[in-house]
This record gives sequence, C-alpha cells and structure tokens, in this order.
Amino acid sequence: MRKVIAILLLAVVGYYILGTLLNLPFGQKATGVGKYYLDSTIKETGTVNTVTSIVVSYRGFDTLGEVTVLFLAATGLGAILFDKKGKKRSLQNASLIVKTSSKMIYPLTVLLGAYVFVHGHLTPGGGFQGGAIIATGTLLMFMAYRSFETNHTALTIIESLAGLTFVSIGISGLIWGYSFLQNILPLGTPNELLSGGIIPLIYIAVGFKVGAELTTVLDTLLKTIKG
Amino acid sequence: MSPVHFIAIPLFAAFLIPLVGKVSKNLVKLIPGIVFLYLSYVAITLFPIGIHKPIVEIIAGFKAPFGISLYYGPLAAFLTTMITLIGFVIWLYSYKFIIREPIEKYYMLFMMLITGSTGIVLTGDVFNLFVFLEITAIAAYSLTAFLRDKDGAEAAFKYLLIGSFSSTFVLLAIVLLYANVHTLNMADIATKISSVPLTTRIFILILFLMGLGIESEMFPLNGWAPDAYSQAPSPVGAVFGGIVVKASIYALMRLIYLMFEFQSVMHFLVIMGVITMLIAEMSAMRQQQIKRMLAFSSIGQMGLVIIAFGVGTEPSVRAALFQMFNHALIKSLLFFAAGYLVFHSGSKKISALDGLGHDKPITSFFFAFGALAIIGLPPFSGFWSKLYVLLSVANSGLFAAVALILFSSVVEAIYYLRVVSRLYFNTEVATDVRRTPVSGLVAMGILTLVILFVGFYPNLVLHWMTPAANELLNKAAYIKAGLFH
Amino acid sequence: MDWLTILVPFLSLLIIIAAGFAVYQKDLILAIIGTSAISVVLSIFFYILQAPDVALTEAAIGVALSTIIFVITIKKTKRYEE
Repeated sequence: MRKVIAILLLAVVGYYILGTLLNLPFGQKATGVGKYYLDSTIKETGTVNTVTSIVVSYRGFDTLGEVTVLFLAATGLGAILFDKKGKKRSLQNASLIVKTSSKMIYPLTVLLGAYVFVHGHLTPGGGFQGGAIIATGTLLMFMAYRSFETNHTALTIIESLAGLTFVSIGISGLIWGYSFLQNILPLGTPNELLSGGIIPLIYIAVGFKVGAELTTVLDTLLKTIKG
Repeated sequence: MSPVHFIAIPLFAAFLIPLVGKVSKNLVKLIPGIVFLYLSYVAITLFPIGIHKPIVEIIAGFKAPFGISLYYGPLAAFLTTMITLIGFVIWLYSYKFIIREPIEKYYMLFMMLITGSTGIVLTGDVFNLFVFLEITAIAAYSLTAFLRDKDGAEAAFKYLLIGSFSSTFVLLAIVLLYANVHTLNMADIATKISSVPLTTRIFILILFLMGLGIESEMFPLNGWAPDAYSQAPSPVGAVFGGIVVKASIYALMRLIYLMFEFQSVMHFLVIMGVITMLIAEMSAMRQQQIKRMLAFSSIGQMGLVIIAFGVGTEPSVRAALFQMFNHALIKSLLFFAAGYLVFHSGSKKISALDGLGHDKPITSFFFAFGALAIIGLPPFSGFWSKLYVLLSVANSGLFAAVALILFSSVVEAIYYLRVVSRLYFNTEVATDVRRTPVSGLVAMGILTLVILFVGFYPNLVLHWMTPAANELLNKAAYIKAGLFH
Repeated sequence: MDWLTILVPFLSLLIIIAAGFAVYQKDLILAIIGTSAISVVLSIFFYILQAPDVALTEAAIGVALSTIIFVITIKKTKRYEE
C-alpha cells in the first residue's frame, strides 16, 4: 500500500519536472550572458578556451570558493580520522605485472597531469582535471607497493603555498587599485603558451593544490584499513 | 577598505594556518582572533557608508551581470557587523575551551564557517550564494563530528545526508533558473523573472524553499538540528544557532522578496513558522539534556522570525531583524554557559546540574541571565524584540498567530525556569575544583553587557534597522543599485 | 545513416543496463564497478555533446577516485547486502 502511494506521488512530481524540463531551449544559440561570453572571450581575456576563461576570469570568485570547499573537505577528513601514531598501510603487495607496469606508468601519468593543467587555457582541461590525474597516478603506486610513502609535511606545504598563491594573485589586484582577481598582467597573443594574463598562473596553482590534496586524502583513507 | 576584505582576508589566513601550525601551535590559536579584530575594524568603518548608499563591489573587473558583484547595502552592513562581532566573541570563548587534539584544523574550520555565512550575506549573485552555502555546510559537517565520539559521528552523518539533499535542491533550482533567464545576477534575474512561465516559477520556488528550508530549520526539515547542536562542541553550537541559521534565513527571504513575491508564499511562511515554533517549544519541554533543550528552543525562536518575515510589512520585517539580532546574542550566551556547566558537572543531563549555582556562581548567573532574557522579561533585550513581533503580527490581523506565540512563550518560560530553579534551589550533587577559565568568563561578560545595553536603549539599534528593512522590501532600489551603480 | 544515430541509443542502453546491474547486485563491490561503468559511458556522452572539459573531469574523478573511496568504505563495513 505504501509503495502505491509513493509511486503516485513520484509520478506527480515527475510530471511537473518533465513539464519544466521540456520547455527549456536546449541546443539553440546562446542568449543573454552566455552570448556575451562567447563573443568577447578572446578580446577581454586572451584565452581561446572559453570554459577556462569563464571558470577563472569571469567567475574566478566561484573557483576560489570551490578550491576552498575542497580544502575544507580534506581538512575535515584529516580532523575526523586524526591519529597521532602514524600507521603503515596494511594491504598486500600486488602481483609482478602490476608492480612493473605501474613503475613505468606513474611518471607518464604525472607528466600528463602536468600537461593538462599547464595548458589549461589552450586545450580542454585545467587545474582540477590535471590534479585529479596526478592523484590517480599516485593511487596506482599506493595500490601496487606497500612501502610507497609520500611525505605528508611536503604535501601540506605545497597545498598551503598553492592556496596562498591563488589568494595573493587576487589581493595583488586590490593593491594595484583594481578589483579583486582582476587580470593585471598583459594579455599577450591568443593561442600561445604565455597568454591570458594571470589565468595560467591560477590554473597551475590550482593544479598543484588539487593534486596534493587528493593524494593526502587517499593516503589518510588507505591508512585506516586494518589487516 | 572594501567589502571583499570580509572574504579575502579570512581565506588568506585559512590557507596560512597549516604553514604556521608546523612552526608553533600557540600562534595558530591567535590567528582567528587577529583576523576577526581586523574584520571588526573594517565592518565598523564601512557600516556608516553602507547604511546611506549601497556599496556595490565588482569582482574581477567585469561589470554586473557579466561578472560577480557583492552588494553591501544596509541589510548586509547590519548582518555582517553582527556576524563579525559575535564571531570574535565566540573565538574568545573557544580559546581555552577546545583542548582535543587537531587544534589548528578546528580553528581553520571555525573561521571558514563564519566566512561562509558572511559570504552568503554579502553576495549579489545566485551561484555565488550556492558556493558559500557549500563552504558553510562542509565546515559544519566536519565540526559536528569534531569530538570523534559515537554520538557525534551519528549526528554528523545525519546532518551530512540531509545537508546533501539541501545542496542538491538549491543547485537544481539554480540550474533551472539559469536555463530560463540566462543570467545569474540577482538584480538581473529580478527584472527578467516575469518572462518565465508560471509553473516553472512555482517549481523553482518549491525547490528553493526545500533546499534553504533545510538549512533554516523549518518544520519538517529540521530533524538534523537537535543532534547537530548538542553533539558539536559548545562554541560550534553557538555558531550554528547564532550565525549559520540566520544567514540561511536571510538567503531564503532575499530570494522570496526579490524574485518570487506571491501572496500565497507569505501565508505559507506564516503557517510554517507557527507550526515550527509550536512543535519545537513543546519538544523542548520534554528534553532531559540541556544542549538538546537549547537546540529546540533555538528552532522555536527561528519559527518566530519566519512568522515575522512572512507577514511582510515594514514594521514586521524590522521586528524580525531585531529578533534575529537579539537571539544571536542571547543564544550564544546560553550555549557558552551550558558548555561550562556540562564541563563542570561531567554529564549532559539536566539532572546533573542540581545545586551547581552554589558551587559555580558566575557561570550559573550567566545562564540565568540568558534564560530570563530569552523568555522576554522587561529590562532585557528579548522583551523588546518579542513585543515588536507581537505588535506587528497583531496589526496585520492574525490574532490566532498572536495567541499561539503567547502560548509558546509560556511554555518556554516553564522549561527555562525549571532549569534555573534546579541550579539554585536544589541540594548539591557534584562539586568540581576546576575553575572556569577567564577567557570564557570575559566572552560571556561581553555578551551580557551588550544584551543589557540593548535592553535599556532599544531605539539605538532599531534606528539602524529601518533602512535595512526598507532595503529588503524595496525591489526597485535593489535592482537600480545592483545593475546601474 | 550517420553513426551518431546508432551510437547515442546504444550508449543510453549501456547506461541503463549498468545502472540496473548496480541496483540489483547483492555483492557491493560489483555494484560499485557498475557505477564506475556508468561514469565511463557518461564521459563518452559528454564528449559527444561537445563538452570535452566536462568529459575529462568525469573520467578523472568519477572513474578512479570515486570508486576507490567507495571500495575503502565497503572494506570497512560489510561486503554483501542483507
């Protein structure tokens, strides 16, 4: 009986959601704010990747907020799973094939991640994607070798310095008399590596930060497994 | 000196704390204090400017609606000053109260909780509101589980599950809103919202009500609140009840007044506020643990604020803001006093507090003071705010609501005076040789003095609240200042 | 007819099969593998819809990191449902 009432209620809610979603103009030309972004991204920000220019330049404040959310999640995890005596990971070593191939793949993965976040303003990608790729490569090494250790102090320092870089770039906009997070470096010619003002610098800082953070999270989680 | 300092400086300090923590632990405890002192200075400097003419600050140099802008009008000025000053007092209290281990992580999460609430109040952009809601929520989940015991983990898990629903609903509402009006600036949406079909508008409003209602503890959505308030450390409970819930109610009311001004929503808010207040006050009477009782009382007072916002006239909005201000001060004082009472008596139950009034006179005095203030007795500030709320609700003809508010005030008086009488008039059960630290007593003393001052001169504070109330009700002025500054 | 009209229904069918597999499995590890299969197909979908940034993000985070966190959680709680 309860299932019937639940299904009826869900049908009513689903009908209204469907009615709302069917009225949306999907797949047509962009209007409003989106059209302005598409038209003036090269002129105003000097990057050819519109997604990057929106994420870092037009809505850079939201990106700062999201980086803070990731930082808070990693800190909260560290606070809840805090353990004064550091343990070793207690998983077994993996088989020979995994051990050998992960030693070869790991540097290539880190290189790919670094490529993705350095070229964020030219190709699809950016800081978050590059950092996640680096963390995945490190995860492969964690699972293959029991004795692969990362230096927690170094990771924390990298993370804090990268975050400080991001906020300092923003505050330097304030100091020079413009608004917070304004693009104060020269824009350069589009489609070159050194273009876009502060956008590559911010994405490099974000890439380092996300990579270090996700590695710390994975290390903390993997150390809580006993036996 | 601009409103973005409220967000940039705490973020800078939060990223600095792990580095400083590697050098010296004692220095880490001082960093939030320095940040809050500086922010209080900024708030007091900007407050007179913001009251007369709204400051609209653009971020990243792109004018609204193509970039993000912060709107520092009279309402934001008032709320930001309140949040920063109360945040400073709560830091002072937690300087000696928090002794469990990852201390630098506590201060970082605590500072971010308050910064997230400041961001909700300051922003003029809908997606930015969502980002700051996320910052506040993630810091809140981590701090609820900070004491790492079984009850704390369960309370944090409940809060996490229900809070994830809240974030999802708000995000879905923002996505639907953007797909229909193609802009994210609140002033711009207010001009374009009438071109959206009516069913879609109602659906978006329902999603916002559910999402923000979970954080503002409206009736069926506040199941997480008693556990979270009572299992978190006491200063964190003070931040939840005094700051976070106020920011959420501000966000909900700003969205409703600016974009979704339907008459039926106002009626719905009044009815929901009445139900919230009644159920919370009656549940509070049956509690055996003191911090859960305070949590239910906080939910009930927020029901009162929602009723006053729901009435929608200018005197009632002014009364609602005054009630928010007073409740933040008094509830923080009560949580502080309850924190030390629990610490000295060793157990969370009310029955363990028997006779503690003779052993620890100062802390018990602060608790009794707060209890009398929140019930609404005359020389304290709670009297004036409740009086104004009752007058404005009665002036709109809702006499049933007035009767129910008076009934729940009587219930409140019963359960608070019950605790106070156990403190002073029962025989002693436990004595404790530890003394309450000075920083806690100073924090409680500051709050007491402010409550007494506002109680004797309420018109001083009410004078600043008239422009704030006018700003919330005046759509045209907001749109003009937000888009064409 | 062009290959897009074959590919899109085929991928949608794959997502539905993977989702059904994830819901009806009793062994939770296999259910998590089903979820990560959904993430892979979704990432291809995003690329077809001309959003390469989102496809890269979904592939990097949904497939690897989300799965490992769930696997660690299952290791610390129980593995088989009911």
